[in-house]
Amino acid sequence: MRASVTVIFNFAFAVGMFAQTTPQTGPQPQTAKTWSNVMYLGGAADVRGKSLDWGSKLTISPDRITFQGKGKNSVRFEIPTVSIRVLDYSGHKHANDGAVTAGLLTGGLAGVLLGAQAKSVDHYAILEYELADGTPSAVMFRLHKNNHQEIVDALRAVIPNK
Amino acid sequence: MIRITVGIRLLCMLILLANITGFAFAQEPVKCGPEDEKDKITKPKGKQSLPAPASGKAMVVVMYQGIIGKSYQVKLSVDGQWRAVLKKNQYSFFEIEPGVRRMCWGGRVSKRDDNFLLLTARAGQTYYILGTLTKGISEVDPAEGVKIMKKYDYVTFEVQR
Repeated sequence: MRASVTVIFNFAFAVGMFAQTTPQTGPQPQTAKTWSNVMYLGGAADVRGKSLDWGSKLTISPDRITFQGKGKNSVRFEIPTVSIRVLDYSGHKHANDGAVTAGLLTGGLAGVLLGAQAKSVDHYAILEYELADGTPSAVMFRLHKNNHQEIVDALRAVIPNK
Repeated sequence: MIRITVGIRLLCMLILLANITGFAFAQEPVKCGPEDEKDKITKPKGKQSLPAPASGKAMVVVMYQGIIGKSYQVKLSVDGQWRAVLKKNQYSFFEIEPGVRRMCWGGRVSKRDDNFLLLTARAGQTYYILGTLTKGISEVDPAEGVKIMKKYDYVTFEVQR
């Protein structure tokens, strides 16, 4: 019994790790594509502020990446794809506060315990690139659960292979 | 009785499995400072003027805009090290190396994605970071930063062993 549980446990763990580290590949985009539901969390040189509005837009084309924030005093910047060095994508899993509250309201203590098990994942992408004078820079985006895979694939497709 | 015990054991295994695979997936986009670090805020006497950054360095001024009620410690980390510890309506400053710096707003704040900030720092520049309880951290215009800083108290901190 103990041996079989250990085997199942190790298999599930290995599957989880494999799913996390398997590189995703996508077709090379020939034209620009724009996504909304992207937040900007800073980093662009000489660009002040963040853009936490899901209405902001990210456009990825073969030669440049353009971010356009929403609202007045919105952030806007462009990054030539040729200057990008690294794409760092991470999924940040955390407790779902809404599920805990909903669990408390509907099921009391048992609901809280169940709600505490509910997790949600925030998706972050950090692009490291070089400015025209050779100094390093980086930008961080938060992606939506419905677009993160498409955006990461599109970014991987336009980043030059080193 | 045996069935109940087996059921409980299986449930425990499932919860453990869920948590372990969760940890394997969990990855903070920006590393904050050590969670177990205890810090004590100290308030130097007299007015503290903001110096220009040393040659080859950049300066960061961080301010905490508090709200009504009891004030708890909040912290700003740069590249995984706590560099400022504040309570409401306090500010601090420190030098950083130029380049990409990864900042995290921690302490008694709710965990949200706007607690993260990337900054491409240039030598000789001063950056004003405003933190709040509900909106995380963001860089503000220097003129606005100076105006807020003048209303707040300067503090430093020491790590308690």
